[in-house]
Amino acid sequence: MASEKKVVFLRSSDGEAFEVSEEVISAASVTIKGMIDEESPSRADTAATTTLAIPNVTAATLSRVLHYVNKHFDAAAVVGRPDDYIFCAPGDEHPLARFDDDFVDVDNDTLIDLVHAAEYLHIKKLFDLTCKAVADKLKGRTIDQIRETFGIVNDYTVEEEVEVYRENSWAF
Amino acid sequence: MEPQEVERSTYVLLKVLYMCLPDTPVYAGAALSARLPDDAEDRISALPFSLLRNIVSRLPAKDAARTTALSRRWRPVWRCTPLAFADAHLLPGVLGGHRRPAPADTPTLADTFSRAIAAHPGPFRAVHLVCGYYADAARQRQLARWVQTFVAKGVQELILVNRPMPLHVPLPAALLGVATLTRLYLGLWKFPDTSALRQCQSDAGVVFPHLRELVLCWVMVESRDMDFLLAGSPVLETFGIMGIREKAMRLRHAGQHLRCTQILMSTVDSVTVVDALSLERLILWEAMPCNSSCIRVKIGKVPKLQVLGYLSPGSHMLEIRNTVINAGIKATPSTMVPGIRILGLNMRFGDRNDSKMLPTFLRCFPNVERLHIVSKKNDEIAGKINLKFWQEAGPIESIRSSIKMMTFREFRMERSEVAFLKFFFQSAHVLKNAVIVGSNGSFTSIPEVIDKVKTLIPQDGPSNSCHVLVYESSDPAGGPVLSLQKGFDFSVSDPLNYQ
Repeated sequence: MASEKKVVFLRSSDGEAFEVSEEVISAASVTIKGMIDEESPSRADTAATTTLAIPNVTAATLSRVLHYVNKHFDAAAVVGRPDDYIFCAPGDEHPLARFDDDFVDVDNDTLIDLVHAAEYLHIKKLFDLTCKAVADKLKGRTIDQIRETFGIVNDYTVEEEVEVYRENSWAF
Repeated sequence: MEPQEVERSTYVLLKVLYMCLPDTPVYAGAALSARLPDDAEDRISALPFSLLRNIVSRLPAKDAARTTALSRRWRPVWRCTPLAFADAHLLPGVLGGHRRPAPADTPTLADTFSRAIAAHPGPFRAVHLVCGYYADAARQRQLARWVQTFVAKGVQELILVNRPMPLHVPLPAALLGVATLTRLYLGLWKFPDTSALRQCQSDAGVVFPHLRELVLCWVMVESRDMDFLLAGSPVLETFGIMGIREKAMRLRHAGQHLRCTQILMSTVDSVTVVDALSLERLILWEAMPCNSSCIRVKIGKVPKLQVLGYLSPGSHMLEIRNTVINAGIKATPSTMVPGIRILGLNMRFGDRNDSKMLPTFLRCFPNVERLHIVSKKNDEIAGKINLKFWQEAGPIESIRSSIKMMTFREFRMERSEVAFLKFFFQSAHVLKNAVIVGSNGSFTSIPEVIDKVKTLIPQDGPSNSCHVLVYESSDPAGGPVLSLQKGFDFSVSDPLNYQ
């Protein structure tokens, strides 16, 4: 990699450190940008690289997040917007749409971990993508199917359940 | 009309109208495949309440409401999430991929909607009703009750389309009392008479204090009601009319926030933009004059106007700061709009009048960087418009030194088109990209067009290093030239670009 590019290390909750371009992660994550800005004055006179602790995110999740971030926020890797001054053949979909679809095609636990990480790190695009993916798993399913998929326990009494169905009978 | 004919015209009208509508508030596409949980731990219900609301807000109305039945934890989530309801979600096929109108009226849909808005405490984030039919008295009463609910509970985004026929069903005047609206699309209505409201104005004439986007499609509206509506929407940013035919309309823009105006398939005698201090885009498409022989397009003080299209040199009378732009008029600073960077033109190249006006028009916009031409068929080929004609018209500064990108749609390889393109490529010194879209069915093959286009670009000419792309239009009618939604999307830098 280019030698003059600044990097930071992110340490996951389970102690693993990941290297990432400071510029890329700052563009992606409001939270990490804030941490870097806070560190900056003390870093100015030292060549040492910074390591930031990310206490809420495990290594498995953090590595996925960084994979996403490098795809979406690394200016060198991002393909031009199709509608802009750069040419794309008519009918091309957004070049990252496919990547995004594959990215959230994961099991429920992984997906929920990603929602939490995107929220904590304040990465809006990833947060929207993962929340939408959770919603997609609730869509077009019966109540029983959703309960089964997510392990949701029905804690209603029979009377309560009747009442709930009555309140929104238009939807059932 | 025969019933079949009615059905057919209903279909066509709705199809065109649906093309203009924004996407439904939530995406109703295929659900993701279910993956069985690794263990039984319920992690989704443990998410913070705000996150549950966020997730529910992304569901179609029925799916969203059904989550109340999951467990006690989920019961209050739906009520605390602003409602998004789109009737098209309940009809398979409509708005799914291709926007296909529903085959018939569906009274059960209206009933479902009534019950949904009764069950939800509000506010409503988005209500899209595009499949309903409101011509009979019972449906009119039902609609009036909905509007009362909108007033009481608040709705931000409302799309309300009446299913024809008949075309001009009265819209309840109470709609003007939904002060929470930020985005409003009305289709196929008779707009209410505002004279009573005009007389008892209390709040300095403000009707919709938060309305940012307004689109009227085939709405029968009197000029004074339109004026009232525009004047009563002080923060309006985007405004579109489509198929407004009944009255000649003089559109004056005084709105201090208006950034984009689109006038599509409408009948207007004049379009006046004066003192439109925030206006960035003015887009006309297939506008027709009402009483006069041409449409007067008057451009006054528009310091931010950058995108102007599609001017028709033959049928638009351009007026810049009180000077009528006649063929051959000498360009002076007072007849120029230097801020225009993107210009769209509708041209009949075989027509002498159009061709004579083109250089004059281009000289009014000396800083155009992106020129988009749609070539129109000319019924009578009058006179010879050849290369010499264009050379004699003299150099055009914008072609010489500012146009970097040019698109030419509906190219039919007619001699007059070829002559213009030849002239263009001979004089375009800073051209980087050109797109030529062949008219569907005009050629035997695309290579034929490519060969022709190659002969137009002189080897040693100024534009020999530009990129030229050649396409064939996929649609015999040329396809939709422009998209209303794209025009309103300010993240798209050039809304007139060929897509």
